[in-house]
Amino acid sequence: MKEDLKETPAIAQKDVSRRQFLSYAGLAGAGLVIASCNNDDDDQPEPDGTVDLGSEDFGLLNYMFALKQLSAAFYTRFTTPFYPDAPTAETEFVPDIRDHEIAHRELLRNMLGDRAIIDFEFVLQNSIDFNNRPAVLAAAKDIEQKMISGFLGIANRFASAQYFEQIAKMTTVDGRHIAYISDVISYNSFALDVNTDRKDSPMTPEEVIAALSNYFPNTISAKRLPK
Amino acid sequence: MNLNKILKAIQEEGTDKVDNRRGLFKSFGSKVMMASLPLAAGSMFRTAKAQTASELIESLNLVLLWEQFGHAFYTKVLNEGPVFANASARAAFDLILSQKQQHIEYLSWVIHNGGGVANPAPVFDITGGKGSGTGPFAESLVDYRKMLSLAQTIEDLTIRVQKGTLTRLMVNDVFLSAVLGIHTVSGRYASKVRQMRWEAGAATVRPWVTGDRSDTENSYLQSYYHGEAVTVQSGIDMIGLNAQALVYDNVTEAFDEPMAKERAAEILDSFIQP
Repeated sequence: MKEDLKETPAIAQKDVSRRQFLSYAGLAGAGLVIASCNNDDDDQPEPDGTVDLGSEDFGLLNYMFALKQLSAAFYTRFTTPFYPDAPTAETEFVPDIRDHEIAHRELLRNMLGDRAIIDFEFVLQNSIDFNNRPAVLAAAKDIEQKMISGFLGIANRFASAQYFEQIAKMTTVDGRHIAYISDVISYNSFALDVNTDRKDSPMTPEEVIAALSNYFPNTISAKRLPK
Repeated sequence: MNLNKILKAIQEEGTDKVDNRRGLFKSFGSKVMMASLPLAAGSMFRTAKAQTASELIESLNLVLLWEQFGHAFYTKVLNEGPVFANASARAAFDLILSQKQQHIEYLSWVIHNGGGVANPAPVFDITGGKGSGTGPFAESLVDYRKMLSLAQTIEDLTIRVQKGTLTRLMVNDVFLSAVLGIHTVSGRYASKVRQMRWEAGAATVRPWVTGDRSDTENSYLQSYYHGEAVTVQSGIDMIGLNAQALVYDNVTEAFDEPMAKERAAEILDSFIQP
Protein backbone atom coordinates (compact mmCIF):
# COMPACT_ATOMS: atom_id res chain seq x y z
CA MET A 1 0.00 0.00 0.00
CA LYS A 2 2.80 2.37 0.78
CA GLU A 3 4.03 2.05 -2.78
CA ASP A 4 0.58 2.50 -4.21
CA LEU A 5 0.06 5.74 -2.36
CA LYS A 6 2.96 7.31 -4.19
CA GLU A 7 0.82 7.79 -7.22
CA THR A 8 -1.69 10.01 -5.56
CA PRO A 9 0.39 13.15 -5.18
CA ALA A 10 1.40 12.89 -8.83
CA ILE A 11 -2.21 12.92 -9.90
CA ALA A 12 -3.03 15.74 -7.55
CA GLN A 13 -0.10 17.73 -8.85
CA LYS A 14 -1.06 17.20 -12.45
CA ASP A 15 -4.53 18.36 -11.75
CA VAL A 16 -3.30 21.62 -10.29
CA SER A 17 -2.37 22.94 -13.69
CA ARG A 18 -5.79 22.18 -15.06
CA ARG A 19 -7.37 23.70 -12.01
CA GLN A 20 -5.27 26.82 -12.38
CA PHE A 21 -6.35 27.13 -15.98
CA LEU A 22 -9.96 26.73 -14.99
CA SER A 23 -9.68 29.24 -12.20
CA TYR A 24 -8.18 31.79 -14.61
CA ALA A 25 -11.21 31.19 -16.75
CA GLY A 26 -13.42 31.66 -13.72
CA LEU A 27 -14.43 28.02 -13.73
CA ALA A 28 -12.75 26.41 -10.76
CA GLY A 29 -13.37 22.69 -10.63
CA ALA A 30 -15.37 20.66 -13.03
CA GLY A 31 -18.65 22.46 -12.72
CA LEU A 32 -21.02 23.81 -15.31
CA VAL A 33 -19.54 23.92 -18.76
CA ILE A 34 -19.73 27.09 -20.78
CA ALA A 35 -20.65 26.35 -24.34
CA SER A 36 -17.55 27.99 -25.75
CA CYS A 37 -15.16 26.12 -23.47
CA ASN A 38 -14.59 23.07 -25.55
CA ASN A 39 -11.95 20.41 -25.18
CA ASP A 40 -9.82 18.40 -27.54
CA ASP A 41 -11.89 15.30 -27.95
CA ASP A 42 -15.29 16.95 -28.10
CA ASP A 43 -16.83 17.39 -31.48
CA GLN A 44 -19.79 19.37 -30.23
CA PRO A 45 -19.90 22.01 -27.53
CA GLU A 46 -21.96 21.04 -24.48
CA PRO A 47 -25.32 22.72 -24.07
CA ASP A 48 -25.66 25.17 -21.18
CA GLY A 49 -26.38 23.52 -17.86
CA THR A 50 -24.48 20.37 -18.70
CA VAL A 51 -22.38 19.07 -15.84
CA ASP A 52 -18.99 17.91 -17.02
CA LEU A 53 -17.56 15.22 -14.75
CA GLY A 54 -14.03 16.20 -15.68
CA SER A 55 -11.04 14.08 -16.57
CA GLU A 56 -8.54 11.67 -14.99
CA ASP A 57 -9.18 10.13 -11.59
CA PHE A 58 -11.07 13.18 -10.38
CA GLY A 59 -13.51 12.70 -13.24
CA LEU A 60 -14.08 9.12 -12.10
CA LEU A 61 -14.55 10.27 -8.51
CA ASN A 62 -17.02 12.93 -9.71
CA TYR A 63 -18.93 10.21 -11.55
CA MET A 64 -19.21 8.23 -8.32
CA PHE A 65 -20.06 11.47 -6.48
CA ALA A 66 -22.94 12.09 -8.90
CA LEU A 67 -24.31 8.57 -8.32
CA LYS A 68 -23.94 8.90 -4.55
CA GLN A 69 -25.67 12.28 -4.62
CA LEU A 70 -28.59 10.57 -6.34
CA SER A 71 -28.75 7.61 -3.97
CA ALA A 72 -28.40 9.73 -0.84
CA ALA A 73 -31.16 12.08 -2.02
CA PHE A 74 -33.30 9.11 -2.97
CA TYR A 75 -33.00 7.33 0.39
CA THR A 76 -33.47 10.61 2.25
CA ARG A 77 -36.78 11.10 0.51
CA PHE A 78 -37.58 7.37 0.88
CA THR A 79 -37.36 7.62 4.69
CA THR A 80 -38.99 11.04 5.27
CA PRO A 81 -41.67 9.89 5.43
CA PHE A 82 -41.88 6.21 4.54
CA TYR A 83 -44.77 5.01 2.41
CA PRO A 84 -47.85 4.09 4.48
CA ASP A 85 -47.67 0.90 6.56
CA ALA A 86 -43.99 0.27 5.98
CA PRO A 87 -43.01 -3.04 7.65
CA THR A 88 -40.60 -2.99 10.58
CA ALA A 89 -37.82 -4.62 8.59
CA GLU A 90 -37.86 -1.65 6.24
CA THR A 91 -38.10 1.10 8.84
CA GLU A 92 -35.30 -0.70 10.69
CA PHE A 93 -32.80 -1.03 7.86
CA VAL A 94 -33.50 1.53 5.14
CA PRO A 95 -32.39 4.47 7.33
CA ASP A 96 -29.04 2.67 7.70
CA ILE A 97 -28.73 2.49 3.93
CA ARG A 98 -29.53 6.20 3.69
CA ASP A 99 -26.78 6.99 6.18
CA HIS A 100 -24.25 4.82 4.34
CA GLU A 101 -25.02 6.63 1.11
CA ILE A 102 -24.65 10.00 2.82
CA ALA A 103 -21.29 8.85 4.22
CA HIS A 104 -20.16 7.85 0.72
CA ARG A 105 -21.35 11.13 -0.76
CA GLU A 106 -19.65 13.27 1.85
CA LEU A 107 -16.39 11.35 1.63
CA LEU A 108 -16.30 11.84 -2.13
CA ARG A 109 -17.13 15.52 -1.72
CA ASN A 110 -14.12 15.97 0.52
CA MET A 111 -11.83 13.80 -1.60
CA LEU A 112 -12.69 16.01 -4.56
CA GLY A 113 -12.44 19.35 -2.77
CA ASP A 114 -12.82 22.24 -5.18
CA ARG A 115 -12.79 19.84 -8.12
CA ALA A 116 -16.22 18.56 -7.11
CA ILE A 117 -19.16 18.99 -9.45
CA ILE A 118 -22.22 20.93 -8.34
CA ASP A 119 -24.78 19.67 -5.84
CA PHE A 120 -27.70 18.49 -7.93
CA GLU A 121 -31.13 19.80 -7.02
CA PHE A 122 -33.09 16.59 -7.35
CA VAL A 123 -36.88 16.59 -7.73
CA LEU A 124 -37.30 12.83 -7.41
CA GLN A 125 -41.02 12.88 -6.66
CA ASN A 126 -41.53 13.80 -10.31
CA SER A 127 -40.13 10.40 -11.31
CA ILE A 128 -41.06 8.20 -8.35
CA ASP A 129 -44.30 7.88 -6.42
CA PHE A 130 -42.91 7.75 -2.89
CA ASN A 131 -46.25 6.58 -1.49
CA ASN A 132 -46.11 3.49 -3.69
CA ARG A 133 -44.04 0.81 -1.94
CA PRO A 134 -43.33 -1.41 -4.96
CA ALA A 135 -42.30 1.60 -7.03
CA VAL A 136 -39.97 2.92 -4.34
CA LEU A 137 -38.34 -0.48 -3.75
CA ALA A 138 -37.91 -1.03 -7.49
CA ALA A 139 -36.22 2.36 -7.80
CA ALA A 140 -33.95 1.52 -4.85
CA LYS A 141 -32.87 -1.73 -6.43
CA ASP A 142 -32.30 -0.04 -9.78
CA ILE A 143 -30.16 2.73 -8.27
CA GLU A 144 -28.10 0.20 -6.26
CA GLN A 145 -27.52 -1.92 -9.35
CA LYS A 146 -26.41 1.12 -11.35
CA MET A 147 -23.93 2.09 -8.64
CA ILE A 148 -22.50 -1.43 -8.56
CA SER A 149 -22.36 -1.88 -12.32
CA GLY A 150 -21.20 1.71 -12.73
CA PHE A 151 -18.17 1.13 -10.53
CA LEU A 152 -17.39 -2.21 -12.17
CA GLY A 153 -17.43 -0.37 -15.50
CA ILE A 154 -14.73 2.12 -14.50
CA ALA A 155 -12.69 0.11 -11.99
CA ASN A 156 -9.90 -0.48 -14.49
CA ARG A 157 -9.64 3.20 -15.41
CA PHE A 158 -8.20 4.51 -12.15
CA ALA A 159 -4.59 5.61 -12.13
CA SER A 160 -4.46 5.81 -8.34
CA ALA A 161 -4.65 2.54 -6.44
CA GLN A 162 -5.73 4.45 -3.35
CA TYR A 163 -8.75 6.05 -4.99
CA PHE A 164 -9.69 2.75 -6.57
CA GLU A 165 -9.48 0.92 -3.26
CA GLN A 166 -11.50 3.60 -1.51
CA ILE A 167 -14.41 3.16 -3.90
CA ALA A 168 -14.03 -0.62 -3.71
CA LYS A 169 -14.60 -0.38 0.05
CA MET A 170 -18.03 1.08 -0.72
CA THR A 171 -19.07 -1.25 -3.51
CA THR A 172 -19.49 -4.38 -1.38
CA VAL A 173 -21.67 -2.36 0.97
CA ASP A 174 -23.80 -1.51 -2.06
CA GLY A 175 -23.82 -5.27 -2.69
CA ARG A 176 -25.17 -5.73 0.84
CA HIS A 177 -27.82 -3.08 0.15
CA ILE A 178 -29.05 -4.58 -3.09
CA ALA A 179 -29.34 -8.05 -1.57
CA TYR A 180 -31.45 -6.64 1.24
CA ILE A 181 -33.68 -4.60 -1.10
CA SER A 182 -34.01 -7.53 -3.53
CA ASP A 183 -35.15 -9.83 -0.74
CA VAL A 184 -37.70 -7.29 0.45
CA ILE A 185 -39.12 -7.15 -3.07
CA SER A 186 -39.03 -10.90 -3.63
CA TYR A 187 -37.80 -13.22 -0.90
CA ASN A 188 -34.60 -15.12 -1.73
CA SER A 189 -33.87 -13.03 -4.82
CA PHE A 190 -30.77 -11.59 -3.15
CA ALA A 191 -28.40 -12.90 -5.82
CA LEU A 192 -30.60 -13.65 -8.80
CA ASP A 193 -29.74 -10.59 -10.89
CA VAL A 194 -26.27 -11.74 -11.85
CA ASN A 195 -24.72 -12.91 -15.08
CA THR A 196 -23.99 -16.45 -16.26
CA ASP A 197 -20.73 -16.56 -14.31
CA ARG A 198 -22.73 -15.44 -11.25
CA LYS A 199 -20.99 -12.08 -11.23
CA ASP A 200 -22.34 -8.55 -11.24
CA SER A 201 -21.92 -7.04 -14.70
CA PRO A 202 -20.17 -3.78 -15.56
CA MET A 203 -21.87 -0.88 -17.32
CA THR A 204 -20.16 2.07 -18.97
CA PRO A 205 -20.65 5.59 -17.59
CA GLU A 206 -22.60 6.45 -20.74
CA GLU A 207 -24.98 3.54 -20.15
CA VAL A 208 -25.47 4.34 -16.47
CA ILE A 209 -25.98 8.06 -17.05
CA ALA A 210 -28.49 7.38 -19.82
CA ALA A 211 -30.36 4.87 -17.65
CA LEU A 212 -30.60 7.33 -14.74
CA SER A 213 -31.10 10.50 -16.78
CA ASN A 214 -34.72 10.90 -15.71
CA TYR A 215 -33.57 11.39 -12.12
CA PHE A 216 -30.90 14.03 -12.76
CA PRO A 217 -31.94 17.67 -13.20
CA ASN A 218 -28.89 18.33 -15.41
CA THR A 219 -27.37 16.63 -18.40
CA ILE A 220 -24.14 14.90 -17.37
CA SER A 221 -21.15 14.63 -19.67
CA ALA A 222 -18.73 11.74 -19.25
CA LYS A 223 -16.79 12.66 -22.40
CA ARG A 224 -13.56 13.53 -20.70
CA LEU A 225 -13.40 10.53 -18.37
CA PRO A 226 -10.38 8.29 -18.90
CA LYS A 227 -11.19 5.46 -21.30
CA MET B 1 6.89 -0.19 -31.53
CA ASN B 2 8.32 -3.46 -30.33
CA LEU B 3 8.02 -4.96 -26.90
CA ASN B 4 11.44 -3.91 -25.67
CA LYS B 5 10.87 -0.32 -26.68
CA ILE B 6 7.61 -0.29 -24.85
CA LEU B 7 9.13 -1.76 -21.73
CA LYS B 8 12.04 0.67 -21.86
CA ALA B 9 9.68 3.58 -22.35
CA ILE B 10 7.65 2.43 -19.39
CA GLN B 11 10.70 2.13 -17.19
CA GLU B 12 11.90 5.58 -18.18
CA GLU B 13 8.57 7.13 -17.43
CA GLY B 14 9.06 6.70 -13.71
CA THR B 15 6.16 6.72 -11.33
CA ASP B 16 5.03 10.29 -11.83
CA LYS B 17 3.60 10.03 -15.32
CA VAL B 18 0.74 7.76 -14.81
CA ASP B 19 -1.33 9.08 -17.66
CA ASN B 20 1.35 8.55 -20.25
CA ARG B 21 1.80 5.01 -19.09
CA ARG B 22 -1.91 4.54 -19.28
CA GLY B 23 -1.80 5.97 -22.78
CA LEU B 24 0.73 3.40 -23.86
CA PHE B 25 -1.40 0.69 -22.43
CA LYS B 26 -4.57 1.94 -24.01
CA SER B 27 -2.98 2.46 -27.41
CA PHE B 28 -2.30 -1.22 -27.52
CA GLY B 29 -5.70 -2.21 -26.32
CA SER B 30 -6.00 -4.40 -23.31
CA LYS B 31 -6.89 -7.51 -25.30
CA VAL B 32 -3.78 -7.32 -27.44
CA MET B 33 -1.83 -6.61 -24.30
CA MET B 34 -3.17 -9.72 -22.65
CA ALA B 35 -2.43 -11.90 -25.62
CA SER B 36 1.02 -10.73 -26.59
CA LEU B 37 2.83 -9.62 -23.47
CA PRO B 38 3.85 -11.62 -20.45
CA LEU B 39 1.97 -10.74 -17.30
CA ALA B 40 5.07 -9.22 -15.78
CA ALA B 41 5.10 -6.54 -18.46
CA GLY B 42 1.52 -5.61 -17.72
CA SER B 43 2.41 -5.37 -14.08
CA MET B 44 4.41 -2.20 -14.65
CA PHE B 45 1.26 -0.25 -15.24
CA ARG B 46 -0.78 1.66 -12.73
CA THR B 47 0.60 0.35 -9.47
CA ALA B 48 4.04 1.31 -8.43
CA LYS B 49 4.73 -2.07 -6.90
CA ALA B 50 5.45 -4.54 -9.66
CA GLN B 51 3.50 -7.75 -9.59
CA THR B 52 5.02 -10.75 -11.24
CA ALA B 53 2.83 -13.17 -13.12
CA SER B 54 3.13 -15.67 -10.29
CA GLU B 55 2.05 -13.07 -7.72
CA LEU B 56 -1.04 -12.29 -9.78
CA ILE B 57 -1.90 -15.96 -10.05
CA GLU B 58 -1.29 -16.31 -6.32
CA SER B 59 -3.85 -13.57 -5.67
CA LEU B 60 -6.38 -15.29 -7.91
CA ASN B 61 -5.72 -18.60 -6.17
CA LEU B 62 -6.33 -16.92 -2.81
CA VAL B 63 -9.74 -15.74 -4.02
CA LEU B 64 -10.35 -19.24 -5.37
CA LEU B 65 -9.36 -20.81 -2.05
CA TRP B 66 -11.96 -18.80 -0.14
CA GLU B 67 -14.64 -19.73 -2.68
CA GLN B 68 -13.61 -23.36 -2.15
CA PHE B 69 -13.83 -22.87 1.62
CA GLY B 70 -17.32 -21.40 1.34
CA HIS B 71 -18.33 -24.19 -1.00
CA ALA B 72 -17.10 -26.83 1.47
CA PHE B 73 -18.93 -25.10 4.32
CA TYR B 74 -22.30 -24.89 2.56
CA THR B 75 -21.97 -28.44 1.27
CA LYS B 76 -21.25 -29.75 4.77
CA VAL B 77 -24.00 -27.89 6.61
CA LEU B 78 -26.61 -28.64 3.96
CA ASN B 79 -25.80 -32.35 4.03
CA GLU B 80 -24.77 -32.99 7.62
CA GLY B 81 -25.69 -29.84 9.46
CA PRO B 82 -28.45 -28.65 11.75
CA VAL B 83 -32.16 -28.52 11.06
CA PHE B 84 -32.83 -25.36 9.10
CA ALA B 85 -35.48 -22.86 10.17
CA ASN B 86 -37.52 -23.52 7.05
CA ALA B 87 -37.36 -24.53 3.41
CA SER B 88 -36.57 -20.96 2.32
CA ALA B 89 -33.45 -20.96 4.46
CA ARG B 90 -32.23 -24.13 2.79
CA ALA B 91 -33.09 -22.67 -0.61
CA ALA B 92 -30.96 -19.60 0.13
CA PHE B 93 -28.00 -21.82 1.01
CA ASP B 94 -28.58 -23.98 -2.06
CA LEU B 95 -28.40 -20.87 -4.21
CA ILE B 96 -25.21 -19.60 -2.58
CA LEU B 97 -23.62 -23.04 -2.88
CA SER B 98 -24.46 -23.37 -6.56
CA GLN B 99 -23.14 -19.88 -7.29
CA LYS B 100 -19.90 -20.57 -5.45
CA GLN B 101 -19.51 -23.70 -7.52
CA GLN B 102 -19.75 -21.52 -10.62
CA HIS B 103 -17.30 -19.00 -9.19
CA ILE B 104 -14.85 -21.84 -8.64
CA GLU B 105 -15.22 -23.03 -12.22
CA TYR B 106 -14.98 -19.49 -13.56
CA LEU B 107 -11.91 -18.53 -11.51
CA SER B 108 -10.19 -21.79 -12.43
CA TRP B 109 -10.81 -20.97 -16.07
CA VAL B 110 -9.48 -17.42 -15.66
CA ILE B 111 -6.35 -18.71 -13.91
CA HIS B 112 -5.79 -21.33 -16.60
CA ASN B 113 -6.22 -18.79 -19.39
CA GLY B 114 -3.89 -16.43 -17.56
CA GLY B 115 -1.14 -19.01 -17.79
CA GLY B 116 -1.40 -20.26 -14.21
CA VAL B 117 -2.48 -23.38 -12.41
CA ALA B 118 -5.66 -23.31 -10.33
CA ASN B 119 -4.95 -24.93 -6.99
CA PRO B 120 -7.17 -27.89 -6.15
CA ALA B 121 -9.30 -27.51 -3.04
CA PRO B 122 -7.68 -28.74 0.17
CA VAL B 123 -9.61 -30.89 2.64
CA PHE B 124 -11.51 -28.46 4.83
CA ASP B 125 -12.61 -28.92 8.43
CA ILE B 126 -15.43 -26.46 8.97
CA THR B 127 -15.26 -26.99 12.74
CA GLY B 128 -11.92 -25.17 12.71
CA GLY B 129 -10.18 -28.25 14.11
CA LYS B 130 -7.48 -28.75 11.47
CA GLY B 131 -9.06 -32.00 10.39
CA SER B 132 -10.09 -33.28 13.82
CA GLY B 133 -13.72 -32.37 13.22
CA THR B 134 -13.91 -31.23 16.84
CA GLY B 135 -12.78 -27.61 16.55
CA PRO B 136 -14.37 -24.54 18.17
CA PHE B 137 -17.16 -24.47 15.58
CA ALA B 138 -18.26 -28.09 15.92
CA GLU B 139 -21.64 -26.93 17.17
CA SER B 140 -22.28 -25.39 13.77
CA LEU B 141 -23.23 -28.88 12.66
CA VAL B 142 -26.01 -29.19 15.23
CA ASP B 143 -27.07 -25.64 16.14
CA TYR B 144 -28.77 -23.61 13.40
CA ARG B 145 -28.02 -20.24 14.93
CA LYS B 146 -24.37 -21.06 15.54
CA MET B 147 -24.13 -22.38 12.02
CA LEU B 148 -25.46 -19.04 10.74
CA SER B 149 -22.90 -17.18 12.84
CA LEU B 150 -20.09 -19.09 11.18
CA ALA B 151 -21.69 -18.61 7.75
CA GLN B 152 -21.86 -14.87 8.35
CA THR B 153 -18.22 -14.73 9.34
CA ILE B 154 -17.09 -16.76 6.34
CA GLU B 155 -18.96 -14.37 4.03
CA ASP B 156 -17.67 -11.22 5.72
CA LEU B 157 -14.13 -12.62 5.66
CA THR B 158 -14.45 -13.61 2.01
CA ILE B 159 -15.22 -9.99 1.19
CA ARG B 160 -12.23 -8.77 3.16
CA VAL B 161 -9.84 -11.29 1.62
CA GLN B 162 -11.01 -10.45 -1.90
CA LYS B 163 -10.69 -6.76 -1.17
CA GLY B 164 -7.12 -7.31 -0.05
CA THR B 165 -6.23 -8.59 -3.52
CA LEU B 166 -7.80 -5.81 -5.57
CA THR B 167 -5.03 -3.26 -5.81
CA ARG B 168 -2.59 -6.04 -6.69
CA LEU B 169 -4.88 -7.09 -9.54
CA MET B 170 -5.25 -3.54 -10.94
CA VAL B 171 -2.49 -4.23 -13.42
CA ASN B 172 -4.59 -6.75 -15.30
CA ASP B 173 -8.05 -5.79 -16.54
CA VAL B 174 -9.21 -9.37 -17.01
CA PHE B 175 -8.16 -10.55 -13.55
CA LEU B 176 -9.50 -7.42 -11.88
CA SER B 177 -12.86 -7.73 -13.58
CA ALA B 178 -13.06 -11.43 -12.68
CA VAL B 179 -12.61 -10.78 -8.98
CA LEU B 180 -14.62 -7.54 -8.76
CA GLY B 181 -17.71 -9.08 -10.33
CA ILE B 182 -17.58 -11.86 -7.71
CA HIS B 183 -16.72 -9.32 -5.00
CA THR B 184 -20.02 -7.44 -5.10
CA VAL B 185 -21.93 -10.74 -5.24
CA SER B 186 -20.07 -11.78 -2.08
CA GLY B 187 -21.53 -8.65 -0.51
CA ARG B 188 -24.96 -10.00 -1.45
CA TYR B 189 -24.28 -13.33 0.31
CA ALA B 190 -23.01 -11.67 3.48
CA SER B 191 -26.10 -9.47 3.57
CA LYS B 192 -28.41 -12.44 3.09
CA VAL B 193 -26.83 -14.57 5.80
CA ARG B 194 -26.97 -11.64 8.19
CA GLN B 195 -30.67 -11.15 7.37
CA MET B 196 -31.20 -14.84 8.10
CA ARG B 197 -29.59 -14.35 11.50
CA TRP B 198 -31.86 -11.36 12.16
CA GLU B 199 -34.87 -13.44 11.19
CA ALA B 200 -33.63 -16.19 13.54
CA GLY B 201 -33.72 -13.79 16.46
CA ALA B 202 -30.29 -12.14 16.50
CA ALA B 203 -31.78 -8.69 16.96
CA THR B 204 -28.55 -6.70 16.89
CA VAL B 205 -27.35 -8.12 13.59
CA ARG B 206 -27.75 -6.03 10.48
CA PRO B 207 -26.98 -6.83 6.83
CA TRP B 208 -23.80 -4.72 7.19
CA VAL B 209 -20.96 -4.87 9.71
CA THR B 210 -21.36 -2.43 12.59
CA GLY B 211 -18.05 -1.44 14.13
CA ASP B 212 -15.96 -4.58 14.41
CA ARG B 213 -18.78 -6.55 15.98
CA SER B 214 -19.44 -10.12 14.97
CA ASP B 215 -22.65 -10.05 17.02
CA THR B 216 -21.79 -13.56 18.17
CA GLU B 217 -20.65 -14.96 21.50
CA ASN B 218 -17.81 -16.87 19.89
CA SER B 219 -14.46 -15.26 20.71
CA TYR B 220 -12.79 -16.78 17.65
CA LEU B 221 -15.39 -15.32 15.34
CA GLN B 222 -15.16 -12.00 17.12
CA SER B 223 -11.39 -11.90 16.65
CA TYR B 224 -11.82 -12.22 12.89
CA TYR B 225 -13.53 -8.82 12.78
CA HIS B 226 -10.47 -6.95 14.00
CA GLY B 227 -9.75 -4.10 11.58
CA GLU B 228 -13.34 -3.54 10.43
CA ALA B 229 -14.03 -0.49 12.62
CA VAL B 230 -12.42 2.25 10.55
CA THR B 231 -13.72 5.81 10.91
CA VAL B 232 -11.00 7.63 8.95
CA GLN B 233 -11.20 7.01 5.19
CA SER B 234 -8.59 8.40 2.79
CA GLY B 235 -7.30 10.52 5.66
CA ILE B 236 -10.73 12.06 6.23
CA ASP B 237 -12.39 11.70 9.64
CA MET B 238 -15.89 10.57 8.78
CA ILE B 239 -17.50 11.21 12.16
CA GLY B 240 -19.75 14.25 11.81
CA LEU B 241 -18.24 15.02 8.41
CA ASN B 242 -19.72 18.17 6.83
CA ALA B 243 -22.21 18.45 9.70
CA GLN B 244 -24.00 15.27 8.61
CA ALA B 245 -25.42 12.78 11.12
CA LEU B 246 -22.46 10.47 10.63
CA VAL B 247 -21.59 8.50 13.75
CA TYR B 248 -19.47 5.46 14.63
CA ASP B 249 -22.11 2.89 13.69
CA ASN B 250 -23.18 4.14 10.28
CA VAL B 251 -19.67 5.21 9.29
CA THR B 252 -18.12 1.84 10.07
CA GLU B 253 -21.01 0.06 8.36
CA ALA B 254 -20.54 2.11 5.20
CA PHE B 255 -17.13 0.64 4.36
CA ASP B 256 -15.91 -2.94 4.15
CA GLU B 257 -12.22 -3.15 4.97
CA PRO B 258 -9.56 -5.26 3.23
CA MET B 259 -7.67 -7.97 5.07
CA ALA B 260 -4.01 -8.78 4.52
CA LYS B 261 -3.38 -12.16 2.93
CA GLU B 262 -1.14 -13.13 5.85
CA ARG B 263 -3.97 -12.70 8.36
CA ALA B 264 -6.36 -14.50 6.04
CA ALA B 265 -3.94 -17.44 5.89
CA GLU B 266 -3.68 -17.55 9.69
CA ILE B 267 -7.44 -17.72 10.03
CA LEU B 268 -7.92 -20.31 7.34
CA ASP B 269 -5.16 -22.51 8.73
CA SER B 270 -7.39 -24.04 11.41
CA PHE B 271 -10.04 -24.85 8.81
CA ILE B 272 -7.70 -26.91 6.64
CA GLN B 273 -6.57 -30.47 7.25
CA PRO B 274 -2.80 -30.47 6.88
